Amino acid sequence: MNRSRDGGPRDGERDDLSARGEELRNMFNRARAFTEELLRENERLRFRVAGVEREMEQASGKTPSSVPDSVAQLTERVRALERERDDLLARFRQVEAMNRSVAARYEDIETQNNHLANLYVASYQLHATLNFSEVLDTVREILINLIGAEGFAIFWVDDRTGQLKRELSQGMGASVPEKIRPGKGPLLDAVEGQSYYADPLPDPKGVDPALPLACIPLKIGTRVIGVVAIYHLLRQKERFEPLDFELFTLLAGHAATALFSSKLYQRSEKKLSELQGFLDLLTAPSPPGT
Amino acid sequence: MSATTFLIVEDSPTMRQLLAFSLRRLKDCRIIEAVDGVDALKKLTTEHVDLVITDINMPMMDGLKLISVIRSNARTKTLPIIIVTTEGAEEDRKRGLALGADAYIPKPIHPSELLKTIASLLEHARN
Repeated sequence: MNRSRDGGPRDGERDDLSARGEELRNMFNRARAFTEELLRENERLRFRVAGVEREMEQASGKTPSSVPDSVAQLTERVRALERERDDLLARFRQVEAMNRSVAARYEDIETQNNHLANLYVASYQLHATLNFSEVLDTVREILINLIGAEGFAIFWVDDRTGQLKRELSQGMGASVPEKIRPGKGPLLDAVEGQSYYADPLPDPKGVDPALPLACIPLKIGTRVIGVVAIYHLLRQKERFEPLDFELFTLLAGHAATALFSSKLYQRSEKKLSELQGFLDLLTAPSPPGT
Repeated sequence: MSATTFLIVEDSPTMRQLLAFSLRRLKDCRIIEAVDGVDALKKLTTEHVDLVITDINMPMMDGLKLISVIRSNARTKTLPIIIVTTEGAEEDRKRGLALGADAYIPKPIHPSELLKTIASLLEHARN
């Protein structure tokens, strides 16, 4: 080192020292700033570590207790949904059963409607006239169109002889005699007031007038005035149906009264016209000159 | 919408009344009755008809002849026709349908079957 004569540093040396001091001071300041920066970073990292640790603690502390809770909730929800589904299925079955019941009831009502319509029309037509042959035609129409009979006969009971007198024969050609004495069998049963229906229906071939498929007494009260005998049905009609039995019951009562009253009316009309002619003859002025 | 007009051609008053009774269950319907084919043709010339229900066996003019006449007339050739008859044989059915009937129902009738057939024919006619 260069020194002055009095043993102190010379001027050049002094400047050099001052520059180096300044340099050291700067270096120290930078070191201090760096240290401070390191300390701040350290602090920040410690906070971050603490945060992470806290999160980990929270996470590790939360999972074991919440999972069972979620499973329980989900299980309960599944059970509730299953209960709801069972309820809905039960209601669906109930509605289905109700639907079936309503459909069956509707069909029943339809059938009843049909029966009532047929019975109404039959009774209306039977009592729509006092002309005997027209009433007989109505009975024939009921037997053909409403019951589906193809071959049949209507007999009148002769009170004196007990024989059956044929009033009408349809689809039987000459096989039904004008008079029949009912022997033991359906015709005699009918004369005694009992209806007869063959069940099952026999072979349609070979019709015997004494053996009808159905035999209905025409009754006024307990008195049998006639008999309807059905021998064969239309080919599309395979058996008697419930409506047919209701129509037979109607025929037994209403056709009997309609036929009987129209016959009486016809007789009384005839008698009235005879009496009128007789009265006219009695009351007529005598021709002049007699 | 105007009422649907039905022409019932049937010589039996009982059957006419039963058919009319069944048809009256339909909403907005008008019923015209004819006792045979000749009477039906007279009514067809003076009335608007939507559907004809006819028997086969009738005096004066039977149902088959009536169908032929209806089908040969330009004004009525597309008119829906239902045969309601006691003739239940397959050959009778084929004959009726071959002449131009749209449906063939043997007696005794079931009103529900008749009403179903009518509904189907009217639907077809409208389309």
